[in-house]
Amino acid sequence: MADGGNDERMQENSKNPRPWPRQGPRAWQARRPRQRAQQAAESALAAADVAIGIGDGAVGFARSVFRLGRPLLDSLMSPLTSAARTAAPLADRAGQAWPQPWLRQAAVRGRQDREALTSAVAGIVLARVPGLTNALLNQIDLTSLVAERVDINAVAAQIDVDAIARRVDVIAILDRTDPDALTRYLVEELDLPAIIQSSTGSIMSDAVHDVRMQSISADERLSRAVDAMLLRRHPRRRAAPGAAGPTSASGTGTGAGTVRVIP
Amino acid sequence: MSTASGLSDQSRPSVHLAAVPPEARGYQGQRAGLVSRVLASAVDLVVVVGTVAIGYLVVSMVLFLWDPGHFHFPAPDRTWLLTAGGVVLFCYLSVSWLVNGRTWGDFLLGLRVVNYQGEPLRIAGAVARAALCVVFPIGILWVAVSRANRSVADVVLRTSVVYAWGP
Repeated sequence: MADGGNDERMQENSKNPRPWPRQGPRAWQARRPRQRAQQAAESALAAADVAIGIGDGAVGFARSVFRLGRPLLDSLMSPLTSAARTAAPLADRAGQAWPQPWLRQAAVRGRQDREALTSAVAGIVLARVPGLTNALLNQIDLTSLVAERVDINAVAAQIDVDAIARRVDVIAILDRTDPDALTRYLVEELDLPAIIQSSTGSIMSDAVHDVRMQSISADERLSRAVDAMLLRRHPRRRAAPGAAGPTSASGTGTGAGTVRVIP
Repeated sequence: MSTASGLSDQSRPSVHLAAVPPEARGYQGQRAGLVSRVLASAVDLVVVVGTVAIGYLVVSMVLFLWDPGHFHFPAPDRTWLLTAGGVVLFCYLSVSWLVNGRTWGDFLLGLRVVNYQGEPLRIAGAVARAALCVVFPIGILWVAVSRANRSVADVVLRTSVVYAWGP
């Protein structure tokens, strides 16, 4: 568009050979500063157009050069790209993809240097990791950090207790215990002799129980008979001192400790 | 197992557990009637007679070992037997009431002898009651007449014989 505007103005100038307009030299003298500024702007615009044209030509030339040299560049760069894409050993592919021996040798040396550098850096880093880890952990209160950041309940909810229980070796645990000491402890705590004695006494007292109950019944019958003969109207006062009463189910209060009744 | 010994050394409450059937719970702590006490006394009498008999056999064995050639079973008169029986009965009742609060007959019938506070007899009470029972055994019959199921010895010494099936 800029080129089009300039062409029109050049055509007008070619039709009017005089540098001033038809109104005369005086009028042209009055308008001269403005004309000069306009010509300077048009000159700068033309210079920009020239620079753009030159740049366009340079780009076109570069494209042409790149287009012409691309096969050669591809032949040089293709081993690098193919080696990066595949994991095949470099030596196996070098004979096919590297036509230049010096490139192959350079690649091999570079690979060796890279591997040596990698191993050296890894060794240095790994040698510093324990110390750095300890120093880092010394600066951190891991317990409080876990308590604040970790949802223990959520973690515990994901624990398969049944699986853990299946992995527990109960036999090994029992092997570590002392059965004799455990038995003595249980006997002492349970007072097993007293229980056996009480059980034996209970079995033996089955017959005694009948005798006692029959004697109690005989006592009552005899008491009622005597009271009837003596024309007593009030029942006997059979509650002994310290007794809880005839209807009480526990606590006889007979002295030597409290007798608590087992139902 | 120090823990077990430590736990076992702890003081435990003075509570005795006894399997008392429901039908007998209402009688626990009440004064026993005449039948129960006579049966218990009968058992005690058997124990005393057996003790005297064993004593007689022991004396006979000693005499036999002392002079087998002139051995013959001793023939003590009634006074000696009653005296020996009375002494044995006195010792038996005193020691039993003092130590356990009950004789073997009382244990068999589920009885216990207590004082006026409901506690086991002390040595004076046990000795006095034993002496009174030996000297005046017929006083037990007063249980049938007494409104409180008390014998003569109970009235005199303010003691009671109660049902106590517990240990």
